[in-house]
Amino acid sequence: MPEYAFVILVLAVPVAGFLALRRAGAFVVAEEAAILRLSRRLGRERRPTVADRLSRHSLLRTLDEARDLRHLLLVAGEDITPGAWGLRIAAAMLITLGAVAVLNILSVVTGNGLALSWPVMVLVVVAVPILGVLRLRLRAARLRDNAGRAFGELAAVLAALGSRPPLRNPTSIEPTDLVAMMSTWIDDPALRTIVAGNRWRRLADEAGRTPASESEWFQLIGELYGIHAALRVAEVVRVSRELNAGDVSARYLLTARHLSRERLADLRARNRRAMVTQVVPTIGLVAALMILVLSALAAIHLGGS
Amino acid sequence: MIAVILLCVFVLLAGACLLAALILDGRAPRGEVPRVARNAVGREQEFAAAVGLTWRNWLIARAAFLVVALAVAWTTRVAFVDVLALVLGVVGPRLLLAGRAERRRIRQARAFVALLRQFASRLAVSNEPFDAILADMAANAPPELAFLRTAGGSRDVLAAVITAVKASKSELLEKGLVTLLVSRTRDRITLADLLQQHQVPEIESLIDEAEEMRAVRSAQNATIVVLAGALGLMFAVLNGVPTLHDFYSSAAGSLALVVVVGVFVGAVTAMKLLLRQPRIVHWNLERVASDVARIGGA
Repeated sequence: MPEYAFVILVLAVPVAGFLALRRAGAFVVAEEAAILRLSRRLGRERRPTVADRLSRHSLLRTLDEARDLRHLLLVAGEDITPGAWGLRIAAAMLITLGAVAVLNILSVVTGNGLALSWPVMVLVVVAVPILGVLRLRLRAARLRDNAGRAFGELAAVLAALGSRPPLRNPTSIEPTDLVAMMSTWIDDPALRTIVAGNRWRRLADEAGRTPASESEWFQLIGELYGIHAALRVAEVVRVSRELNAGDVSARYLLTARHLSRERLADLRARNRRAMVTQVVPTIGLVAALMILVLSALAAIHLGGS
Repeated sequence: MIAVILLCVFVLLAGACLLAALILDGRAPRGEVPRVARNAVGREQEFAAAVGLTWRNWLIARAAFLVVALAVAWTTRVAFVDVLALVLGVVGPRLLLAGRAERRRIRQARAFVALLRQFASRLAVSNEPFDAILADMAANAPPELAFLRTAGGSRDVLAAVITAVKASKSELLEKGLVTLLVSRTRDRITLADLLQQHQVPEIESLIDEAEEMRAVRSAQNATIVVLAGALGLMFAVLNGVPTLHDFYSSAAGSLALVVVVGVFVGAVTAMKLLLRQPRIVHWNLERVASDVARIGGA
């Protein structure tokens, strides 16, 4: 029993330390830490209701997003139905189960007993669908990021072209529309995933929405895919008809520059945050050095004895 | 027991067949280079261009590095180190030259932005034709953009500049040229104003972004190279002791080295994943030029 207590203590201390550091804002930049403290204080003063707290809870939101698999597949740019995705996951589970079972059988045949106990086998197999959903979420997040960059570039191109509309018919994107052309100009597939073959319409149909104007198209894409940059472009497209070509250009360029500045600020903040977490893999590099030295010491010790 | 093994093999095969059928979807690619290989070669060519070497010279340099790594490994007379040298011979050159390549790219982009500024000024104050200014600027390009000089003497300057920038495989230069190509749809004064007031600062902010990514990657690579060097040096010292040399030549010693390398590679992978930098997009310049010409520009 004391051994278990010791192991729990060894595991709990770093976790508690990490949580304490996180709470104290050690992993956020100074500006962000100030905003976090302020939002916590405001949160305490406003006393949100239980329902309000639950709706903002990231775990519940995550579960809600994972439940809507069809939406997640479309946002991630996966051109398959949830059924086909399920079959793919089932196949991966079968392969994992078979591989783990073969490993166990070989281990038993060679007289070493079970390599992995049955509960561990079940856990390994159950991990497959969870990893599948996580991979989808990662792909969706990457598509959002890359498409955001593409919409920023689109704003710069629209600025250079002046008063040319980004698209003609908001219910169907044609290859001659600037948005579609732009998606073929860059080597990143994110914008193409949305525009090519009017794939965005599947998501729009799911949501039961049809854009009535050019600006509404950008608004819809921004909302359905969660792309902030598309919403910013929508604002400029909305007012572009009431302005002359020079003003439209200036507005588009201002948007493009704001988006690139925001991207740079986000990148800097993320990099500064990650600098702290970089300590962990650096310890791993030093650990490799230690293992080398310790293995040599062990060899000398065993050779001597 | 045999029945259980057969059942397991059956489950494995069933899953593999199902997965293969779903992935291939009945269409087996024939006679095509796999996309992974194409991308790998593309990335390698891009890196060679970033370092400033031709594709042929880069391959020769890589081969030479690999031979040197294997020769050094052979002197240790430890089998596992030979395998490790093979891996290091493949990944080492990029790790060592990544910082230089990125610095060179950024210097080129800053020089290109300076050219764009000069171009805009001449466009605003003189009546020279667009192509004449472009030819003159290309012919007198600074040393960082020496590859543009031959384009300056070409009959179709714009096409030659597009070819030269495409060959440089630099995302930042491509972005700068796209700005110029697309802005050609406007009149001279508007174009000059657009370039000076808005487009150039926008490209500069992109260069700042690239600089930020370079700084982070350089710090990471420096940490990895220093610790890999320390590890290599430590191993060389330990391997010089006869008892330890015998240990590292044995199965147990090889296993210890596998663990050391595994921990090191795992730590490097975690480091790269934690600070994964976004990618700046490449532009299809020929397509941009043809589309812009079609919709009434260049």
